[in-house]
Amino acid sequence: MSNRLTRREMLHLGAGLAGTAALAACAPAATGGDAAAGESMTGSDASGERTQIRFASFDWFANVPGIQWAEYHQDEAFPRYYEEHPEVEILWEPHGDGWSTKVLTNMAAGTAPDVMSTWPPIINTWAEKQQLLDLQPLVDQDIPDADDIFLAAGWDQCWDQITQIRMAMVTNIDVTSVYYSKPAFDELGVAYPEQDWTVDDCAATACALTKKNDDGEITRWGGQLRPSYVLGYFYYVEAWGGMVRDDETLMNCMLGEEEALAAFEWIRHNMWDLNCLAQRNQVNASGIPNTWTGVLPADIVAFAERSADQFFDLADQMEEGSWDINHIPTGPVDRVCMGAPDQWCVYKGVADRGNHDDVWEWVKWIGAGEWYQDNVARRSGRLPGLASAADKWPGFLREIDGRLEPVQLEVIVDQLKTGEARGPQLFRFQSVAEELLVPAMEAIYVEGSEPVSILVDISQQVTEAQHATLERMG
Amino acid sequence: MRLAQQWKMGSSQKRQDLITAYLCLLPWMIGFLSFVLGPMLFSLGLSFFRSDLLTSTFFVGLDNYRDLFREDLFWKSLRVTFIYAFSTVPLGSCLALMIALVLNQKLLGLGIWRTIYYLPTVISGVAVSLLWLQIFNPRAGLLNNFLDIFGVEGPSWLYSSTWALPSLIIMSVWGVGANMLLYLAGLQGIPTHLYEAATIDGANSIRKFWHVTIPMLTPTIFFNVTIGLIYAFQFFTQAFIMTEGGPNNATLSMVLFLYRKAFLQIRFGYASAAAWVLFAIIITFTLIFQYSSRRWVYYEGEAAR
Repeated sequence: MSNRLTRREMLHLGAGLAGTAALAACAPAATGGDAAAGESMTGSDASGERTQIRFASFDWFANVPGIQWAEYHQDEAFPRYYEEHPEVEILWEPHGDGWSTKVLTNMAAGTAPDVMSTWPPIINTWAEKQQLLDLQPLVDQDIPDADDIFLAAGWDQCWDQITQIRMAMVTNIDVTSVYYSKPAFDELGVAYPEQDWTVDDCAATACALTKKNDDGEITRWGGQLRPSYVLGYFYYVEAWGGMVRDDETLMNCMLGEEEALAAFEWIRHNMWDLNCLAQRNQVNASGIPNTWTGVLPADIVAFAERSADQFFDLADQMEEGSWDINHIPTGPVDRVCMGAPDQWCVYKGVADRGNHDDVWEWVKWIGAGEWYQDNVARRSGRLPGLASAADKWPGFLREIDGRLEPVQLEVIVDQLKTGEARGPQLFRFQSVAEELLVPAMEAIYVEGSEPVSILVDISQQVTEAQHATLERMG
Repeated sequence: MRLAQQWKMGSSQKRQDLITAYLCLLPWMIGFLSFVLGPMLFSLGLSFFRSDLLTSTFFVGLDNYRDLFREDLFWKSLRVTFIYAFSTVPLGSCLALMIALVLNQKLLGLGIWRTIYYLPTVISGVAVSLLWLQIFNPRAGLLNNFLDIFGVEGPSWLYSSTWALPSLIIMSVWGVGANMLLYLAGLQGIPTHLYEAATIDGANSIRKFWHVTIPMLTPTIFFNVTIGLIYAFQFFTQAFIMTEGGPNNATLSMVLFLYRKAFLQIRFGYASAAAWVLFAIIITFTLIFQYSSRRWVYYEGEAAR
């Protein structure tokens, strides 16, 4: 018998395949389908299938050597959860690059994951666009002491002032601290920064630690502010007693006011006139990665503002006991630094998908459950949002790597508890504000081509743009 | 109508041929309708609405277009896009032609050279961007170290609002391999008898180049420049990865502008209007170029008709 198809058979087969493909494309996805198919997961059906929860998380999240965040969930966290909730199946969806764009298009199509990792200001935009489930009624019901058990620095940022909803639970909190290289200080006989050091002390220390070669070229800068996020300098505005925007409408930009300009000028002067604080491009030009695991070991800067992560990398690169952590310097009025949470939010679509209660149980378990929150520290190395887990965080890190024993990790917990670490003052329409502010801040600090006084005009433009946006939205 | 006539008039064999042809075309047509024409029409419609695709959609007529033309940043992005397009396309075309001319000679290891020049084309845009980030590093980068040999102090490249766009233009010529390959194919398709005739007429190499090579290559030049312009007007990846449109919006391309409007400010109607303005610009230049081609593009087959 010949295997060769006649033309008629080929046509019939082709038509059949095309028809099948069209039917398959038009048919609704099966309940137990692949999460990646993008169709909303539904609740458990009459046949006893497990309720599925689509859980989209950053896959690069873990800082602890050897730990993969995706593997940890699938091998440890999910099985442990199934012991208590055998009726549920969690589907892991790695966020990957461009996650916020992907989620936004999922939201437009109604196919966003049930639970999603995110951070401000992205989450605020999602809340503004009414895409999130308000968790407050559920929190009131199941976690009545939430205001006490979570670190305020993270918990407060899960509340959206505009929409008046609880947007999320806290995954962890990133805190900006000062990391310093002890040998750099010892070499020049400069005292280590003290806990209550001021911006004047900071500037003097930075200048004392800045080294030049015989040609007068700087070979090491004393200090460095966060290099990649120019809007992070807004914390200094608060340290000078100013405000980024008004507290009521979140739309009136106050960066052109006296306090703000004084704070910005302090940074600019030390960065561009004295050059004791490294400019972003100067460090980029060194060829050393502009991260604190790059600049400190390479002796490009003596102290640097950075995030509360990468401890294990730094321990690998610097001799034990040769580096430490300190508070941000105190300004004329206040001491303020970034305390920005990563968060878990719930897509509003769960109300129709039939898995609302199961989703909340899962979010509660990861957000307020001690086992999981402890593991945010143990498995990712990050500072958990649950206060009890945050207290244990320094100990967990030292258990993982004994070389962190002499490092004052407690400073970071202290920054969170004293209110030094706090959320950014976001505008109501943050991306609209950033469109004007980022180029201006880059002109002042990255290029050094403009004075801080341009912010007087820019500030006015930001306010106008905020109000125009509100008007446009009706 | 024509299809119906063909169907009525054709034999059974012809009908089967028609069905086979359309079945073969069907996957492409489904893809085109679903993923190209459908979204395009949706986007055109959306450009007349104020819409975030999430909460509200209002018909606003031409307001999005009016607002777009009033926005300074739009004009800045347009300027950046024009500078980029009208720098990279002539530069890339000339360079590709030069390389093709060299590789059209009888050189040792010709296949290897061709592969080397084509190789950058097959590397992903992201990888190329990361590589050039290092090359453009002001102090440690290859480029400034090279300039340093001649006592020239290189600029800050990507970190300077003056040099950031020229940096991206320089980077673009690295990927001329695809154009070069087309020119090479065009060069090899030029009949040798034309050169022989020119030689008999006493033409030197330069005259042969201007009066034989270039005219015979005009279809290839037309194709390369048209496609190059279309791609150049849509440049995004390099600016997105290497500079994020900065510093000070110096590398804000039109596509990056509309990306920001759509996905950061969630103004899909407005971004759609920007996309259609870009489309109109591209189609206008393409049509002008197409129209002008009647005067300067020479098709050998046409001459024989």
